Amino acid sequence: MHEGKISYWQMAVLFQVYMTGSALINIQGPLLAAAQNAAWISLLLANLIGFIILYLVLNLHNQFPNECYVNQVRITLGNIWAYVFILPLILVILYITSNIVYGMGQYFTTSMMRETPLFIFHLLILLTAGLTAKAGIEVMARMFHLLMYILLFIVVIMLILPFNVYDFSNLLPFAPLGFKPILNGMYIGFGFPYMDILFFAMILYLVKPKQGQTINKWLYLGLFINGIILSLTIICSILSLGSLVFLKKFPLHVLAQLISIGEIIERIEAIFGIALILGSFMKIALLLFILDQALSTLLKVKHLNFIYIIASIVLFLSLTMYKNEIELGESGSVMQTAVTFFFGFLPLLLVVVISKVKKRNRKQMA
Amino acid sequence: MTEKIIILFIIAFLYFDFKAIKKEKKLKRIYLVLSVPAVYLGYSFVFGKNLPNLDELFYFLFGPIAETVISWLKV
Repeated sequence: MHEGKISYWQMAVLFQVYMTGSALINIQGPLLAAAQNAAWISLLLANLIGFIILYLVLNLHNQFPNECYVNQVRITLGNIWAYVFILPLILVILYITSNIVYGMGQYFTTSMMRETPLFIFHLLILLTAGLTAKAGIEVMARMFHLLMYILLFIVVIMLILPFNVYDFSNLLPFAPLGFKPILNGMYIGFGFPYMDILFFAMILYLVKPKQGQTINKWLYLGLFINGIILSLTIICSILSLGSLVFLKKFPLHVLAQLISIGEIIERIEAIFGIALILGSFMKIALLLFILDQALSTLLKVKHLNFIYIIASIVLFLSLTMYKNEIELGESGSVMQTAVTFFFGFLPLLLVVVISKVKKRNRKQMA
Repeated sequence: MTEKIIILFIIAFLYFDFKAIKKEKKLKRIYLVLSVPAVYLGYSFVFGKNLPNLDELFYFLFGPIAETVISWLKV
């Protein structure tokens, strides 16, 4: 078990960068393609499901505050079931981490640095994220604090500066194709980013408990803010580009290209690139840390020994899984939700129900 | 090809935590097991082979279910 413990506020910051980090850049494209004008409603509905997942995670955390999710499963169901549930979950986290790395690499090789080989971006971001994760949770908590402010500042600037091109009539017609596309968008949002809340349960126990206070309200508030920020980015993308935005993979990048104030502030999409690197870097570092946490707790060995080898597996996975960004898009929009539902959500639900029943039985026996 | 092999060596050098492996026998065994997918995927990357991968495993398990759901949701 880790000795490092962080405060409630630091944990809330980590949760915010974890949830908002890469989603801030990657979620608009798939959601707008699926739900069009109603994409922001899809996101808010997915956010609502995120609250259910967070409720389940916090339920387990409040029952076993000093244990990570792996040990919570082990205590509730036994050692064999812990292996049955956690090994597929580790594969899912590897898959999602590789998707995030590939998404970042694809953005650069298709829009900014077309001649540079993909593996250069993947290698550099995984090297940096691996070294950061190896430094431990306290270092990440301190470091990401400042980076979160920079990331949010860039996003707010990018949403405010193109105000002169916003056209509110672009928001209509609302849901012209009915309710099904909204559900489709919600399906995508469930797989990414909201099922990622479960993976965060691996590091939730690293918070320093305070008497008379719980982490719950901080995380619920964080999730609410996440929903508001992400839906605002979608609304602003629709306001500026109208129906053109449904074809764009990175609407915020296009939004940044539209900024033109007095011919002085123009073409600031490179700033968007910085936000993308920051968001992806923080999310990947946290996911590597979570993977190490899951693996070492499952195999009962000391933590922080597997980060580099996990990073190398993620690197090769990200370089070999997809041939182009269309394959990644299909994987993210179709497969990710199904995989996280069967290997993440259902086991979580089962563990919560069984732990509740066991707790009630213990009370009755007493 | 040559640049990919050079990258592979750099990755092996950077990513294998030799200090960690030296500490415990159990860690050595786990590292050995974890090296198998790393070497397999590294081989697939360097030689450009289209070997079975994690996304195909997931597609095999949940592909039909996911596609049924998506076809129901698409207008």
